[in-house]
Amino acid sequence: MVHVRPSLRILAIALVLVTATVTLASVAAASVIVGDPAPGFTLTDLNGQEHSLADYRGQVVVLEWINPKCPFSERHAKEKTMIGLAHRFDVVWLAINSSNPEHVDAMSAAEHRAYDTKYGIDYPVLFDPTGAVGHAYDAKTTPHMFVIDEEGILIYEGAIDADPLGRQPPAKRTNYVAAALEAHAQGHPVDPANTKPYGCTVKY
Amino acid sequence: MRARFSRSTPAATALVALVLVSLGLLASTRPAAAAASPWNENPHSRVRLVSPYLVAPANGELWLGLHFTLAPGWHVYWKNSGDAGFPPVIDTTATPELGDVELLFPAPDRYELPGGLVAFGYAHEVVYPVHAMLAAPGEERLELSITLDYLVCEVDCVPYRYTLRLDQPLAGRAAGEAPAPEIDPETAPLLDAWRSRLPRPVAELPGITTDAVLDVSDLERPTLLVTVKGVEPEPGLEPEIFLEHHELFETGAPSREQTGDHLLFRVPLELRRRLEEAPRTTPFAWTVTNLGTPHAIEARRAVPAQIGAEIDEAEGGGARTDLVAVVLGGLAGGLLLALTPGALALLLAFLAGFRGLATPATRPALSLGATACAGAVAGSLLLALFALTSVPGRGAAAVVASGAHLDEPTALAALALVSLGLVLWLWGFVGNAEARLSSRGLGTGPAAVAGALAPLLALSWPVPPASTALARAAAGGDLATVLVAAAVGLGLGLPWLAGGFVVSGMAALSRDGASERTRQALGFVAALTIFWLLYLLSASVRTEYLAFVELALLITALVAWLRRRSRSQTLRAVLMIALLAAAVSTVWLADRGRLRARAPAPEESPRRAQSPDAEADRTGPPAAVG
Repeated sequence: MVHVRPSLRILAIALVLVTATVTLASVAAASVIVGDPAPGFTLTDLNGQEHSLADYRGQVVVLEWINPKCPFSERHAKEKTMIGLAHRFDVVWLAINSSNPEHVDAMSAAEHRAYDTKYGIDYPVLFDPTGAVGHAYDAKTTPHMFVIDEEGILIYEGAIDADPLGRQPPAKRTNYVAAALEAHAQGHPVDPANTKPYGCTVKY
Repeated sequence: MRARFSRSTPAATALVALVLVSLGLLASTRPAAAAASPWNENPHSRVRLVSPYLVAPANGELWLGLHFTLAPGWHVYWKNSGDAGFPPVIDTTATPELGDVELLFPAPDRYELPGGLVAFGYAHEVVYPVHAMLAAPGEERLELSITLDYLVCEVDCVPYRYTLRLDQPLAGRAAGEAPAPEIDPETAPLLDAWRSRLPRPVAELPGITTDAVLDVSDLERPTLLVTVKGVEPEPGLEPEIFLEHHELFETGAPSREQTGDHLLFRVPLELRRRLEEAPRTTPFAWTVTNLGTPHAIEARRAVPAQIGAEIDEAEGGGARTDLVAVVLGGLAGGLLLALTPGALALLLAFLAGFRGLATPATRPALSLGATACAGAVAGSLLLALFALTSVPGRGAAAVVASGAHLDEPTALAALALVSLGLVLWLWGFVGNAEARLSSRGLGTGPAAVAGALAPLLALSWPVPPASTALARAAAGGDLATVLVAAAVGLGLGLPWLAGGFVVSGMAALSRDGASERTRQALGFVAALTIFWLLYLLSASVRTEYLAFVELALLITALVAWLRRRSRSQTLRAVLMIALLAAAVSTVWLADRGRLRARAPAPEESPRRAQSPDAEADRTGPPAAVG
C-alpha cells in the first residue's frame, strides 16, 4: 500500500473541494457584454491555418458571422459591404462560419473558397463546426457583427447596418460597423454600441 | 335583323372591334374591383391585401389586412421577431390618400429553433391588420398600391417583395354607387377575427391591471417580474408573455405562476452592454397572450429597478423580502464560501493544529472551533457594518452581491494582498505559523482572528447563493443585511465548529499538529485565490500594468522572505517599510492601469436616472412603415 504523506492528502482533498467552487464561480461569471473582454478563441481557416484572437492583440478586430447560403450574407457579398469596410479601415477582419457540418447549409472548404473567389472575399474565413465560438459570442444571425478593440474589449455588437431589407443604396445606409470603427479611431464612445442583428439564424 | 347587318360596312366593324379591344385592355390593366387583391405566391407562402369592404367609406377610418398563408413549417414574424428575422414592412406612399398608416400585429406564438434560438411570429395563416385614415376628396375610387417586404423562414429564410394592388369604389361618389359602405361577407369576418387577436391596451380594460419590476440583484442577469391581475385564463389556455425588443437586454425563456386571476411571469434577461450602475427605471413593453377574453393585453411602462425584488400579489404590486428564506440562503452560501481556496486553506491549517492538541483532544478543539466560528460571524458582521457605512447610494450589500467589487482593480489588488499575506504566513515568511498552529500556540485569540479573517478571504469568490442572499437582504434594509451577513459568517464558521467535533476522526492529519509540510501544502491552496484574482484583474487593467501588479506581489513576497531571514533589527525595520511600500504599490498600480474610468459616486454622477415614463398605454405600437 502506498503511503501518502498527510500534507499531500490534505492538498489533494483541498484541491478537489476547490475545483467545485472554482467551477461554480466561473459559471457564475460567464457572459458576453459590450464593454467586457471578448471571448478568446482559436479556429482554423479554409487553408488549415489557425487564427487566435490573442494573435491580434493590439489591433482592432471585426468578427462577421457568415453563411454563404443565407440570402443576407450573399447580398452583402454581392454589394461588397464587408470587403469594402475591411479594405477601408485598418482592422483585422475575420469571418466565422458556425454552421453545423450536418446542416444543409454546411459548405466544404473548397466550396467556400469558390464562393470567396466569386465575390472577392480576401479575409480569413474560419470554421466553427461545433458552434462553440458562436455560442460563446451568442451569435444569432448571419451576418452578426462584433468589433473588438486593441485591448480585446468588445466595443460593438449587432447588425452590419440599419437596412435589413436592402432598400437603400449601400452608400446611403447607416453602417453601424463603420460608425463604430470611426468613433473608436477618433477616441469617441461607440454609439450605438448594441443593435439588433438581422439575417438568417446561425445554423448550429 | 339580317337586312340591318347586311348593311354594316367593314369600317364600322373595325371600329366596334377596336372599341371592344380597348375596353378589354383597359379592364385588364386596372386592379380588380374587389375586396381582396390577387394572391402573390411563392413556394413558401402567399399573400394578398384584403379589405372588409366591397364599397369603401369615402373618408375617415379604413381597415385593411395583409393576409398570409404559409407552407407547413414556415413562419412570418411579430414586431419583435426574436433572435433572427424581421417583421413585415409596408410602403403606402404610392397611395397618397392614406394617412397615419399603422401595421398592427396580432398576438404571436413562440417557435423554438435549432441552436437554442427562438422566433416570435405566426405559422399556417395570419392577417396583419392595417389601420389608416382615408382622405380622398372628390375621388370615385381608391386605388390602393402597397409595397410589402417580408421574410418567411423555416430553417432557412427567404425575403420577398410584392406590390399589392386593390381597387375599391368609394361610397356615394360614383354614379350608381351605394351611398354607404358595403361589407364583403367573406373578408370582413376574416379581418374581424384577426383584429380580435390584437392585444388590447390594459388601460382600456377595467378590472385588469398589470405591473412590473426589474430585479437587478444580478445586474448582468436581471429578472423582469410581470404581474397580470383581474383576468382568469380560460381552461386549456397557456398564457405567454412577449417583450418588445430592448436595447439593453436579451430576453430568455419566461416562466409563469398562476393563482386564480393572478398571473406572475419571471422573464430572465441578459445585459448586452456594460453599465456603470443599474438604471433606476427602464422602459419595457410587454404583451400577454392566450388569456381568453380578452385574447391578449399589452402594456408599456417605465419599470423600476430593485435589488432582490419580489412582486407581492396580495399587496397589489409592492416588493417584499422573505427574510427567513434569505437568511437560510445566506447560511448555505457561507458554507460554500468556506470551500473557497483561501478560507479552506486557513480552516485546514487550524484543524491540523487542533489535531495535535493534547488529549482529551475534543474538549479544547471544540471550544477553539466554537471560538473560530464566532470569529467568522464577527468578521462577517464587521465587513457588513463597514460596507453599510462607507458605500453610499446603492449600498455595499448590493455591490458585493452583484460582484461589482471584483470589477474594481484596487479591490482586486487589495484582496490579492490579503491572500498573499495568508500564503506568506503559511510558508513561514511572516509571523510564526509553526508556533501558532502547534499544540502550545493554539489558543482562543488565534482561533478568533483566523475565523474573523475567513470572510475577508472568501470575498474574492463570487459564490451565487451567498451573492443572491446578500442581494435580497439589501432590498430588505440594513437590519436584513446585518442578519444575512451574520448568517453568511455562521456558514463560514460552521466547518470550524464541526472540525472541533470530528478532529479525532481526521486520520489524514498529522498527530504533530500543523507540520511544516502541511502548512506549505496549504499555502499552495491559498495561492489559488491569487491567481484567480489576477485573472479577474486582467479584464480590468492594461496588460503592462497587470505585469507590474504581478511583479509588485512577487516583490512583496520576496521582501517578506528577506525580512524573515534577516537577523538585524534595523534591517528588519527597513524591510518592513519596504514590505508596506510594495503592498501599497500593488494597489496603486492596479488603480493606475485600469481600463475603464472609475464610476463616480451616485451623488456626483452627472447622469440622471431615466425620468419615469408616465405615458399611458395606447392602442397599438407604431409599425415600420416605409
